[in-house]
Amino acid sequence: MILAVETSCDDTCAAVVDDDGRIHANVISSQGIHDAYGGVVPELAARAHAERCDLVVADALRTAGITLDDVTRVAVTRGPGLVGALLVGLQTAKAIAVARGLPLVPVDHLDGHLLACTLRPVAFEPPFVALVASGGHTFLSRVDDPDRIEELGGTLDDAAGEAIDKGARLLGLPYPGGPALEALAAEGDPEAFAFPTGAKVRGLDCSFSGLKTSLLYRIRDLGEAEATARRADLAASYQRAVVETLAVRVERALEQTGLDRLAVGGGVAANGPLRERLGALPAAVAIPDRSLCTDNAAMIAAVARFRPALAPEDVAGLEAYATGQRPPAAASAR
Amino acid sequence: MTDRPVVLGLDTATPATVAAAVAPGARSATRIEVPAAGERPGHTRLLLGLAEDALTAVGAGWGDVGRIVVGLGPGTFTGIRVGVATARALALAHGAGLVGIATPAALAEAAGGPGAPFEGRPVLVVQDARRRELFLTWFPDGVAGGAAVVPWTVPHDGLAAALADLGTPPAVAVGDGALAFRDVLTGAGVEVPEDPASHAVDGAALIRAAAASPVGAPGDVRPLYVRDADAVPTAERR
Ligand SMILES: [Zn+2]
Repeated sequence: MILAVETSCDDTCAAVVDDDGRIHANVISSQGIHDAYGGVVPELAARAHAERCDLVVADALRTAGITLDDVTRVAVTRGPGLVGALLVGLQTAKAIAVARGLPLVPVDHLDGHLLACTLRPVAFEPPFVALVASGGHTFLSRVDDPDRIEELGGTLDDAAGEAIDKGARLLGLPYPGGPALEALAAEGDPEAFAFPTGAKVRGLDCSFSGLKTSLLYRIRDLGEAEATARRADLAASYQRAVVETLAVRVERALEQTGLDRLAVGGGVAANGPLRERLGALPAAVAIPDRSLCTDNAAMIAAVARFRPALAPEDVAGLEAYATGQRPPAAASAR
Repeated sequence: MTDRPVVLGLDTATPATVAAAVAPGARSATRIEVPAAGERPGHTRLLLGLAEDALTAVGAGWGDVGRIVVGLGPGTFTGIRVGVATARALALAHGAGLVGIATPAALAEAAGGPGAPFEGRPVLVVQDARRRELFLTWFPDGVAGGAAVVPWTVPHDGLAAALADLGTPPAVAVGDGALAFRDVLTGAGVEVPEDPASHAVDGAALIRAAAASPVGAPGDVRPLYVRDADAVPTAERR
């Protein structure tokens, strides 16, 4: 049994997964304290992790109906993420591993999103193209094998989830914007306004800053009264542009790699129109349950099945890496 | 408790990484790593290794630890979280009892506790709080004495006024802030020991300071931040 811990952002997560990829517990404690701030406040996130990380681990063990005696490896997110948040999970996992004499497997958070779909019951096997889109990351990778992952494209500015949040804010919707924007968009016409999708920009990288600016100008041009009256149309058209921006790159990636298998992960995978659009592609498409798309520890355990444990003498000294500080070893493994 | 008689102490509130183990028969071992000038604290990298070292030195293993004492701060936010997260997870790993105690209580114990140079006399702990502020913690009887310890912050130039406000003058001041503001303190008649060790957290003193503290629920063992996080809700922004 693998016990995994993930605290890279604002969810405190622990999971128990067996070596066959069966999930026995996947506990996600959402902090629910950041909404009033319009985004994740790193110090508040770290404080909340420190108040509950061990309790979430205990909860995962209880839910799985096991004790630490049944655990054979401990896995933990090493980065990238908010370093103060990461450290809480890292120390928790290290302390358990050291005190119990268990092997520790450090895992890259982004690999977790890429391989979440390998867990049962989805059990989607490589090779596949993977799209990961969330509030923190947006990228496309080619996964030939759990150990052979190549990044095909990323985002030049905002992550897709960030673009959705910013658009929602411009439309006067509360944070986090995803569910509210999707609900409003359902009442609008996605063809009402033509927002840029970068369809003519070649390659597999996304950009969302032009889209956000375009919405800002459109609202300004319409005037307050008209923009308010047409909020649903604006939301639907904006959402469609985000979906198209992603879908066009996914289509290209499938074509370029010759693969006809697609895995989708990250919180934006919960978006209905995106699921619909990607589901219609001529490919086998795997979109795991929402609890495996947003940040979770089961996906960290999923990766740990395929990665070596640290040498015992290196466990106590293991350090985290923040966003933008991925060591070459982690990057080259991708 | 008799079958797991070892007490482990951990503190990462100051730049130093501190661990200590006390076994029956007064066997004890303390480990401390202080970063070189200009270097960042190595709490994450060092803490578990130092703790294991201390345990080995008293002939114990992780499974022998029945009680864990952790310094709650105040100190750097990240530092105190590393200590608390580690201690809580270690307690979970083997079901050890967990006690959290304010870090300055360890400094006060070493200066004014039983058998200490200023035994029973009033101790002021002065810690660097960064942002041109100091954390002050006041021990009128030299030790925590079971009373809740409440550290507070003063600006650098407010130390003299804070001393005047105490009512009883401290016999001694310890902590990295005491070293940095030796002139202000000695000018007010407060002794500041020369020995740098008097101003560093001693793991064995941390364990002694918590000797009378009951084991709490792990969820109640939380960092002592003193200061709020710098974050303003959207609704209150301008
Ligand atoms: Zn993520």
